[in-house]
Amino acid sequence: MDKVLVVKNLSVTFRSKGGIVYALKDVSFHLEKGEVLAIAGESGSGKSTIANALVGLVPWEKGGTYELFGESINPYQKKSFSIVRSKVQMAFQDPYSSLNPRCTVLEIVAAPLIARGISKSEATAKTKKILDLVGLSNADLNKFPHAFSGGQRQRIGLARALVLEPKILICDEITSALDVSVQAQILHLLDDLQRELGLSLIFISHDIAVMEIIAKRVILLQT
Amino acid sequence: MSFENSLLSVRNLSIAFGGTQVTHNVSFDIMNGEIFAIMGESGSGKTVSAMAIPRLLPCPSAKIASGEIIFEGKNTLELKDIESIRGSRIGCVFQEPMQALNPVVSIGTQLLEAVRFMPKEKRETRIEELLTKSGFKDTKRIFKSYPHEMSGGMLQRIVICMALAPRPSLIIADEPTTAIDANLQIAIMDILRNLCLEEKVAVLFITHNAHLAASYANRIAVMYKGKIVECNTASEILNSPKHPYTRALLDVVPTKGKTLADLKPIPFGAEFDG
Repeated sequence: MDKVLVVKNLSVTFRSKGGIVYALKDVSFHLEKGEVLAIAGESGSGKSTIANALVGLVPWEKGGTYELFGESINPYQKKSFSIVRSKVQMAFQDPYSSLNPRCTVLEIVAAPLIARGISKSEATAKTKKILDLVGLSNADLNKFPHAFSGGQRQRIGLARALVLEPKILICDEITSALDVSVQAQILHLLDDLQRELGLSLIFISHDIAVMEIIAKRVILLQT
Repeated sequence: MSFENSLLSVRNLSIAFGGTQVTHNVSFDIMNGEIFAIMGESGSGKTVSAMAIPRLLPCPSAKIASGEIIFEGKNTLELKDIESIRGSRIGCVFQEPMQALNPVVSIGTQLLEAVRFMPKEKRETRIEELLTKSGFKDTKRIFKSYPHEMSGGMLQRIVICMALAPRPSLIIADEPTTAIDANLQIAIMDILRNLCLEEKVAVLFITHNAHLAASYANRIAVMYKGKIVECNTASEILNSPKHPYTRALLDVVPTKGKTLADLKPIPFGAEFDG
């Protein structure tokens, strides 16, 4: 099997009143091409910190190594994560706070493209295509997030993550805030997307039954 | 089951927002000390039905089209002074504990506000008793703390104490654990149930989570599209659901041994024949 992502000795610390706290200590794992890897653990065990570290949202402690599609990434250089984020994208837990309430769906989903210097017309075309893929219609382009249900908002979040055509998608508790029926819709959507786009998925969850349904391998974190 | 001595009796309650009727002839009874769950997906009308009881629906956009709510022998919809029962006889626990508490007032001050109608000398002992029972050790420190210094689970325990402090006979718990980390949900529900059993308080538990409803409620009403489609004991609902919607809802709950193909999403607005 091809290893698309290899992490060795990932440590992350936070400073608190009592001194330095290790959120992650020497965590090593890999992700295989086309697989769904679940990350499980109690609250506070560091699940989301792994996700954040993979896309450079929290600083790495010394001693870690990061390999993406066979290439070594320097996690101690900010600009290396701009390469990472063209291949690794993230979708978040809370469908209410992860979308800017003052931006339209088009602005939200096209933002990553515009940030990378893609022309407005091309960005709009790509946005339409990706919305179709996640099950939203072109009529939704100029609506604001408040007009959508929780499940639809998660689709918008997935569209924003997928519009850059990443190879790896990190889903951080993306179904936790949803009704069971909507959760099933999103799980089916992830399954379809994974096959259509050849994605490799990291699926962070606390729900063992959901993980059993969607993932083959599980990483279990202990506090 | 006879409902002659029920604590709360909701009869044919229909609520409309603007011109749209969102609940249709909702009827249910809650007995003293019972845990009664309303289970349904978002938009099914469960919160609206519950919030009509202490008259917490937005006014004037929500209108009671028909029905009555008899609580401790009085129709709450016609009460001139709803404040006389809201809080003191009917307590509320909401989904977001952070939003239920005032961020700039200490926890102690907010807890004492809940017992302001008690004799002065009894107030602090009552609060301390509840805090201890809900698992707080250093109650002095909790008194001085502010909401931002605590986790969501701790805050929800505070809110539960606050709701129980004036010794109500009914607690409305609207998705009390939905905003809380999943592995803490059971612990919070245990505290809520144990405290309510001990204090002989009935609970109207609003949830979309079939596992939680089945584990904590005596009886469950399943709501869909503004109607109660089925109401029965928790074990009947779970083990032999009668209504096709209840069956569809239970089927889509991920459980051990199911595959993705087993999870069949319920089409939005699908019709089910009872």
